[in-house]
Amino acid sequence: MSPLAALSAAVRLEVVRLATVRSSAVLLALAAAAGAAGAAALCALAERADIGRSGLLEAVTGGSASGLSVVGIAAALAGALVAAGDARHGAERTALVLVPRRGALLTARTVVVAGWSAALAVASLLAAVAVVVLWPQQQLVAASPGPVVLAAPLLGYVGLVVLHGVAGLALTALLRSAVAAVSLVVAWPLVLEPLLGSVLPPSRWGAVLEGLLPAAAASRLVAAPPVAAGTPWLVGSAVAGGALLAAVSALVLLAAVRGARRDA
Amino acid sequence: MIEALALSKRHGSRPALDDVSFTVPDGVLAALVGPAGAGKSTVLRLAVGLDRGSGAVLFDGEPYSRLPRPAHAVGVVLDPRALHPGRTARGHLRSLAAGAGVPRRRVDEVLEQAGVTGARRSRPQHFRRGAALRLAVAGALLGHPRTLLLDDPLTDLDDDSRAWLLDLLRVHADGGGSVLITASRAADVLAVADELVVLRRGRLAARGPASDLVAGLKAGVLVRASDPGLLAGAILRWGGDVEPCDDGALVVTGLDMAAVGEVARAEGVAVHELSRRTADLDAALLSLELPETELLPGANPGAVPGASAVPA
Repeated sequence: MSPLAALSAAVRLEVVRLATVRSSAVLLALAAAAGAAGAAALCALAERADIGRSGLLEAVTGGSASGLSVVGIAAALAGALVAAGDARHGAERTALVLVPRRGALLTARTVVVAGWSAALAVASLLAAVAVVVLWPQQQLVAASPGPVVLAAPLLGYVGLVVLHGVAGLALTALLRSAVAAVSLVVAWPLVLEPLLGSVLPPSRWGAVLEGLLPAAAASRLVAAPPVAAGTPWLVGSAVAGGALLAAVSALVLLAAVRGARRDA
Repeated sequence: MIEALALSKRHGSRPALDDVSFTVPDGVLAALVGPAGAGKSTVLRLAVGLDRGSGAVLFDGEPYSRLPRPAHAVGVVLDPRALHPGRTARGHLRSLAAGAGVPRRRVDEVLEQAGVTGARRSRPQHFRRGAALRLAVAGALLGHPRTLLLDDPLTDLDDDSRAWLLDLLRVHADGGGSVLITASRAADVLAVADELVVLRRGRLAARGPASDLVAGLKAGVLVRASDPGLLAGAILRWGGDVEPCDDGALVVTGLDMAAVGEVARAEGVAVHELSRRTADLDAALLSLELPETELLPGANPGAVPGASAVPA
């Protein structure tokens, strides 16, 4: 079986697997509901207080400026379920019998989880936008910068959810536990990264390094640019995105190495 | 045709398979037989590349990983319970068909062929063993493969599913395909297998036509008597062989049932039970747990004269 044929077969297999399992529809509904709920909460908050020019962005991305969002967690769970389902129900062996190339299978699984996570992000965005548009007398749109300025953080949000999904997949393959993987995704920005940041030396390089840690890079990806921010801001966001991508790619690579060394 | 060439595999320091070679020609249904831990499943897992080991298994001259479309050449059933609980039976087969590059309409064909059309919308986590196996076999048949590999398909199988499966495998082999199944009990496969490949502790112990293996086993007479020692001595004098059992019964070979009765009457021994004991291949397989030299033809009652025994 040629590598290309194997990849094509593996992608078909994973797409139909995703489409024929119940939890996919549940996660899609959860993502849309989370997007709508986040938007509703921000709209309600905006009625009582001025939440600034980034209010609209916060509303449609579910307040993911901390580097963590409910939809990101849902995507991590989606990725974890793909890997955990393989391990728990023997699906990995079935897949390897159909497509006897481990690299092609992992690549296909990563691609499909990435696509599925993007779909979850878009579903949550659409639900959130619908709530904002329909919210009576909301001022978020009026206070927000224009669509051109918002394009980069919105793309960053979709990319962030995609990376959450892929991280969930890779961590589950490494830790052999969906619960541990999702817990780690949640605990990283809330506990582990602040701890790590506190031990970095208080120097210029330490500050640069701290800004490239996964949660900090994630919050930069979805942050609204300051007024009059130009190309340097976009470059900084791209560097943050690259750092996050590198971290998740390292996880996938580790999972690939571990998978290649052991019996299925 | 399936060719297993010098298969070896270690679990840590323990050899799981040691230089196992055999061939299953086209049109032959072969059974890999041996007690638990003999290495039967490992052979199949190595064959399809799930386990890392040395040696090769060729399907019509090609290793599994180099087959252009594996599911169209080899149908594999390793674990019928490998089913996601959130997916229907039809959804499960749809995903396999997608991976195998098989049109979706083929799913309904194999569901019908396996007799599980009525359960296509059911989630299979509560399927009984028979239904789960039928679904797994349906998946293996999706690509119209010439070769079938099934790991321990007969254990805990209901009578209907067993009859259906054995018939399907027989028809497949008679149609020119190769079939390799594993079984812990030889009795399960004797009626259908053309050839047996016997494994013992990861080594090839014997192989050959199933009929030859059975013919090589001795039938005997089981007798329980009031004085087993006296009767055993008399039987030996009359030219028979005696093997005492743990419960005091004797298994007599070399004399028929009537002769054993006459010997007992002549010696004045009361007979409590006298019955024919049929050849038991599974007992013979258990005897293969003896040292390797015992496997040579004629070396012990469990040896298989018609089979090609493989020395250490």
